[in-house]
Amino acid sequence: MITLEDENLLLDRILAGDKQAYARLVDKHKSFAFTIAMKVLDNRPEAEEATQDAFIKAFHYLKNFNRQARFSTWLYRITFNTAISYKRKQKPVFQSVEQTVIPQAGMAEQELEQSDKLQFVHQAMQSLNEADRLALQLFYLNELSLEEVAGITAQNVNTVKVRVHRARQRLAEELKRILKQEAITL
Amino acid sequence: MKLPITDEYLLRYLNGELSAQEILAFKNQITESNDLQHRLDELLIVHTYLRQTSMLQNPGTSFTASVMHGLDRIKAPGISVKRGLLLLVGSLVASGIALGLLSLGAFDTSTSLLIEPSVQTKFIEVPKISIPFNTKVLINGIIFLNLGLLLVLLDRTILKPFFQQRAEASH
Repeated sequence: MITLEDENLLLDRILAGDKQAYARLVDKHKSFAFTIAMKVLDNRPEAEEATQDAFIKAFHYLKNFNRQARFSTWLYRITFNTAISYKRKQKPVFQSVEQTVIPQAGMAEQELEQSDKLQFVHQAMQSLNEADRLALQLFYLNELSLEEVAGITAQNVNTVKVRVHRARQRLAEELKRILKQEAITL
Repeated sequence: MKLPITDEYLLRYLNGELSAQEILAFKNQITESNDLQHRLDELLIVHTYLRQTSMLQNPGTSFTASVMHGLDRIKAPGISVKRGLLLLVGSLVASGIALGLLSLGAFDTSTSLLIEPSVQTKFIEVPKISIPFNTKVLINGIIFLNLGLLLVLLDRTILKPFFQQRAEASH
């Protein structure tokens, strides 16, 4: 576990030329950064490449990091922007709802009903616009604060708040619509 | 007193942002209203889904090693090696052609640039301006600029990466 103080010492060592010290920072932040890239790209190999790229960029621009924000917020912002630029190059991939997997083995009937509903929420997620979806997913990721999400996505806190609130309402509405439709077709 | 329970209030409840007192009042009120209970269930499903799908994911086991290896990758700022080499060859060819034509005397003629004033009446006669213009000087200037560009490209695409690599290797 690296404390904030340790992190600052590590940054000093890296800036002094100790390149190997960077490996500890990579180890600390790789999962979170990778998850952010996964949320944006939804493609494991590409997310891994984008995250590696982000870490390399962060290393090269470390001199410019002014330490007013936390290193993690700065790094995640680089990761987010790198993933967004990868996304722009990405060819659209259409995934059918039937292909999405939510494990159901060994579930009781009530759990299955719950699982079905979760599947419908997954379906409803596709109806959100990208900015709202990403703000919402980041907000739930390790329970980031609105301020942290705003820092990563370079948006105003109030904008993020509205996006998160609106996205959840839309999801609930969409879920209601899907459930109604399911009831009709049954 | 009944609370004005909106979606925002329900979401604050799900986020765990309500005080103990607010939760108590909220729970009392929600048991009396089927509509509210129903809406809370809908938002709860969304909340559960989002929490379930928000677990951290791990990249491959060789991730850190790949990043550390990638740090040594030399990046030519703004210009790729391939593009730089192409520009280098292009500039060399253009300079060669220009020098060849110059030595053959293709630009030996001297012309003049004539500027005719746009306002010309029968009462005022504005003199025409003639600037002597030597094509050879212009071509020499272009070749000179091209040679400057060649030196910059040579530095960015070949020399700088080469010396950076040597410095990295000696560390």
